[in-house]
Amino acid sequence: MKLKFLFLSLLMFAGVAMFTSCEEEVVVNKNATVYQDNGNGTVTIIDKGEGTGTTTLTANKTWILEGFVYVNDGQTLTIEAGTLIKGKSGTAENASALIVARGGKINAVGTAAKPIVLTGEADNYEGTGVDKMAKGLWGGLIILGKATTNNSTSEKAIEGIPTSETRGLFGGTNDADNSGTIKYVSIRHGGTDIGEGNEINGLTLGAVGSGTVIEYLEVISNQDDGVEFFGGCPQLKNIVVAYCGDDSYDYDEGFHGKGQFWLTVQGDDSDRCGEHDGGPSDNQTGTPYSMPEIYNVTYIGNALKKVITFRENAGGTYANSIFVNQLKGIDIEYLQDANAALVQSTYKMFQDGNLKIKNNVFYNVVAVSTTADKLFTISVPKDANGDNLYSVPSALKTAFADYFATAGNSILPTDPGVSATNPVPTTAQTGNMASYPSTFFETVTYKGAFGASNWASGWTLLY
Amino acid sequence: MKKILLIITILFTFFTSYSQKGIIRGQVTDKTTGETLIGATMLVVGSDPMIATITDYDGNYSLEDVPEGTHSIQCTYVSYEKQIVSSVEVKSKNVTIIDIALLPETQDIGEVNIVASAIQNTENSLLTIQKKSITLLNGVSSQTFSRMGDSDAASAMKRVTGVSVEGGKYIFVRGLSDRYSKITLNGAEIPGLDPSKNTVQLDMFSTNIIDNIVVQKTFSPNLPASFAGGYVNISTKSFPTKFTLQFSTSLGYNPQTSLNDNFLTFENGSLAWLGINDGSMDIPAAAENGIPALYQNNNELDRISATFNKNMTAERKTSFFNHSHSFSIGNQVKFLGKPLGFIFDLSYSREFKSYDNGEYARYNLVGGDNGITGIISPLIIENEELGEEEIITSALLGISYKLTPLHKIGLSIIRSGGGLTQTRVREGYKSTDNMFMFENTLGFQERVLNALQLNGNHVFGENNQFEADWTSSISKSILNEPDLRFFNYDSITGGEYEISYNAYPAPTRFYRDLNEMNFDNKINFSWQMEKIKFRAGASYTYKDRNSKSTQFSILSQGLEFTGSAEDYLSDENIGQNADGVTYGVYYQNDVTTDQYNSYNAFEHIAAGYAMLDFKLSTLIDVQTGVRYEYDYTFVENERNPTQYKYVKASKKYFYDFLPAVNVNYLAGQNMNVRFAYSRTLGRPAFREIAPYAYYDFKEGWRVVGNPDLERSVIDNIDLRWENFMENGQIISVSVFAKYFTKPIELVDDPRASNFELHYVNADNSFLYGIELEVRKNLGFINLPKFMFGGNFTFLKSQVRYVEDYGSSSLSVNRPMYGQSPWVVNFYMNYDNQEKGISSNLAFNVDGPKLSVVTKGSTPDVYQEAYPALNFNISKKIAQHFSVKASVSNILDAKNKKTYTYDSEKYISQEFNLGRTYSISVKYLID
Repeated sequence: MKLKFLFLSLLMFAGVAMFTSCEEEVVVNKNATVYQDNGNGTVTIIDKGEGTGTTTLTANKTWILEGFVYVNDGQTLTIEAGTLIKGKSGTAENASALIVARGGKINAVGTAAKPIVLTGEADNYEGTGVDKMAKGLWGGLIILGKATTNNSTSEKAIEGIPTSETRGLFGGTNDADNSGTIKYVSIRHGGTDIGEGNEINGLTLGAVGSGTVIEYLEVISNQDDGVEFFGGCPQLKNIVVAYCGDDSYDYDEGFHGKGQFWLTVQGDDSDRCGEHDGGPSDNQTGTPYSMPEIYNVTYIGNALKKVITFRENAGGTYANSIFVNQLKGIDIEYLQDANAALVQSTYKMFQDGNLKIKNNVFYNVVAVSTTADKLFTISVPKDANGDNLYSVPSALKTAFADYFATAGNSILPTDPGVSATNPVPTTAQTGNMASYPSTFFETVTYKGAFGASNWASGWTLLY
Repeated sequence: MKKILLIITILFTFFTSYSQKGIIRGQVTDKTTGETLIGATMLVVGSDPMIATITDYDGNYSLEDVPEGTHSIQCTYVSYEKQIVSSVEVKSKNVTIIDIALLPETQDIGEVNIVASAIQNTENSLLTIQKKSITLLNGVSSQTFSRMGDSDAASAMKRVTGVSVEGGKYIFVRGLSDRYSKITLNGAEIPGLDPSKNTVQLDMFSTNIIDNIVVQKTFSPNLPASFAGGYVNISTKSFPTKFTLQFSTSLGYNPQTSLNDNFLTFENGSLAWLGINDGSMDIPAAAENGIPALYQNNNELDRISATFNKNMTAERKTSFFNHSHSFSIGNQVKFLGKPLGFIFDLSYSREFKSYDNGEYARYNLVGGDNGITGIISPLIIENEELGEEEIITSALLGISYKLTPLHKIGLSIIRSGGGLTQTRVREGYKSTDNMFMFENTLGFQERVLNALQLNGNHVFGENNQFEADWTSSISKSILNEPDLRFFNYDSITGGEYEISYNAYPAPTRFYRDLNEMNFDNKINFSWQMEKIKFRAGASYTYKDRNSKSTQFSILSQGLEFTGSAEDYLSDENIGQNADGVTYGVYYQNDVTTDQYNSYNAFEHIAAGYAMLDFKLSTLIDVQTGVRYEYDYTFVENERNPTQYKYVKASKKYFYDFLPAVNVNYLAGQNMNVRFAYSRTLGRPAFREIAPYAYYDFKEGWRVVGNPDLERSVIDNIDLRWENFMENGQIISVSVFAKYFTKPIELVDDPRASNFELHYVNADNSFLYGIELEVRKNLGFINLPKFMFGGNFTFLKSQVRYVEDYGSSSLSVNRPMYGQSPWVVNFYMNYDNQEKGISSNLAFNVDGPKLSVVTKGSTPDVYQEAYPALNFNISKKIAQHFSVKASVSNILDAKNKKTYTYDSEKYISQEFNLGRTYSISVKYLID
């Protein structure tokens, strides 16, 4: 009897509906942002999750960023003219950076006389605190918006920030998105390593919309790229990028913005003046294609690298520009399938008229006396020995080289007089101008970023 | 060392203290079921004074002080036929082993008479366990290890039906990853050593200390519930029935590696040959408390930067032969008048591996969107060279003491150690940055497991109807990975060398220390009633883990790199005073990253069960019951008062009731048909629920923990038919199916800019398969000395996972990670006892399995089938000496990982390790 009871109760025990439940607790310290007054005129900002709030950073204090400081969705951060902001030293997740999250706004309006300066902790407003060439002392400025990209997912995390930090996500559907106004801002000595072979760019623009105003901005001595665009369609005028450790201007992920009056001055360890990709490597041919319109640039190379690489289905327009002093010219990627047929790639973009390089002048690129086929080249994937996996049909090579002249590009026989110390050509490059397409562009009669005067003088560390 | 000598001296004293008489020992079992019989009466026929005893808890007996000569012994037991064994030779100071199998009483015969020489214990004892067990199990014994020449538990496990071994360390039972295997040592939980896993690395255990490994494939309530593939128990050698002494040494030659002048290595300290970090690879004392940032305190920064050693790239030296040595001694003696058995075992092995013709590549699918065939384009293609030296050491002391024949206690002290020195060089073209890459990785890893286990078996009651056993175990393991060095540089085609921080990580030194302590206690009771056996028990396990890592980047500003790491890191290039540069070499350390990579965690599991074993009819045995488990897991990143990013996660489960039913139908004298249903759990590892991201420097990806992760619930169904034949022959067929609710899978998050993996609960997954096992003596074709064996497993699994990320969704429909669609093992044994020759040929292969989950639409990387064939032959050359020659990896197949796209294969990694020829000598008193 006892046994039967035991058996039965056991069966009942086992037969109880096998419901399960779980209790869990997750704590991530998430408190108000700390504005810690250090008493010596400096205020340290520590963001524990709530962002800067809608506030003003005044010029009478020095503001020190500790770690990633975000302007959260719905917040507006105003920075007065003449304000000094410093990033604490650190690498990886400890890197300091100012990040304007989607829906957040930055109003950083300086003047030529009183620019806003963002630099490393050891530096000062005048820029004499550290070596002019010192790089990677802090992070950089990151602006994230809601415009379109060609990523496989409509939102993506910006480089170096894990997806678990949702304030690091960018992308959306509003190309007119407005992340605020940036004028007369100098970003110095940034680009610290944030792990995985990533550094923070001087200015990172992730899916920033056309409502955002960015003018008179300098990025100098950044460890990574000067300005990098990830999709979106911001419109940038009067930009200086100098002595950066990687590419000067970099675009990817379906960037379709506009640019005019861009200058770069490269240092010995700089890479390309322009690195231009169409889409992320896992979605190169996604839409919208990368097809920005860029007019009036002056790219002064270091005689070691390339002027521009277009690859991963990049398109775009470069017109009325000056390219000087570089080892290699402009290089576009050609990809073919197993049947040696051209697939959607930058070369296809060129064929379809989605890549235009027109009415530009070249001096001392490759060599003082060079030929179009050396300036306009094609690259293909390579094997372990660096040998090409396949060769480009010669007709296609010729077609691209011939395009140099038909698109109104020319090789200058004499020095236009553009150098690192003087970006204003001593011989103005006028005539044979491409016409300007939209209201954003200022119609000028000269090539390159500068007419008769140096607009970068006075408010930059460079000049 | 002194301690070891002392122990040996004590042990020798034990076995020399013999009387002038002999001993007869053995075990009494039920011939039909294989069960050991407790309380059978043994007596030496005609002895005066009478020499008699009864069998103990394990069915063992020991007739002592038997005069030298020939005797008959008699065994009697209630309801069994009496058995008399005659012509039992007893020699002075020797132990004669006589095992007895009793037949249940029938009407016809009252007594069985056997001559001692006819008793031959050829049936594999594991098969007996397998046969009598009501749950489904398979195993390998020490006999098999030595036949196959397997040196560690991981390689030995390959011989078990349905088991494959991943990365030489982790076992996959029935295609289920290590997450779904539970590994215990003598029934007690032991800590694992992988920072991101919850499992035990099996290559830590030298086969020298192992008696057998049993894989239980169906759950019964007395086992821990967190497994689905298999519950693996490693039993260390138990004490012998008589004096044994063994010494063996072996030497191996691999033409590709041994005595190779170009063997890649680096300076790894004076104790690396013992698998120990001598401290020379530790973080320099000056850097232990952090490093100032650049321009904060340059003098201090430079002082600290100068204290790091400058060995960042591989050296070439001459490698040695593979060699291994082992020693063991054991005996059964009287201590305070009671039997005390002990075994002491030491082993050491050192193995070199290398290749200089490996390939390594990463590819990317371009333009494969919208149903159009794309192209697989290389991101990087490199040649790979590797030099690896692995040390495995182990020490075991096992003591067992019988207070009475029915009360036994045991103690085991185990230390397993491993040291791995790995040097890897890759050179090749990186298309994404148009540069030639040069990559150096230098790593040393020290692993130690220390375990102290105490256990007891007790039998009570008038008819021995109550049994109790208990285990209390404390173990601690350490993973010390000092100074893992990465030094990468490049040269642009035709250009000079450089270090490009933008294209790949700066030179880095990485240090990791992981400690885990496990405390495991369990007690089991059983009550044998007339027709029903009732069992109940409880257990409590506590785990405590601490993982700490520190990472340093080596940077410089404007310093030229000329192609030599030594020059680059030279003293004159360190710091602010380096000539003509913005700033020379300096070290930086990221505190937050280190704190995210450092965590403390603990887990409490309390469990209880009740179960019944009964006969539903004479032919049907049923075992059923339920287990309850309470689980509390807690993890926090390293707490620092000044740290503002403190995170923790904890989870508690209160209501896990896990039922099991195992049914065995005796379809014939030696034939079983079994059915089993059970519900089990799959628990996440500590790191997996920690709510923060960390960068896995070794793998080159970021991993994000998920605090919402739930443990998986698995419903298991098994059906098996098996037929046992004499001399250990067997044929069996099993079919099984498993349904996982919320299995834990690793997927890449398409929103991340870099490769970022997330732990997620997939919706469900389903796995089913069939297993065949054959073991057949070739006597039927007149080759009675040959035994053929094989096992085959065919599996299929599918994971279903769908997640929305904004407008696009990620849907995963693929096999479970690491699951092979098939696993095949074959072997042929030859045994000639007269000539003392035995030989074995073994073949093992498992089908392609998912190895690397890639980003986006690029095809995943699969590990291709890798066939391995080993042969060995041994011969007894004198009474106690035998020699063995073996060739392993005869096929020397390429180890390949590939991408497959549009039916083309692209190599992600390929290398081969060459054949190894070895010879060993063994001295054995048994």
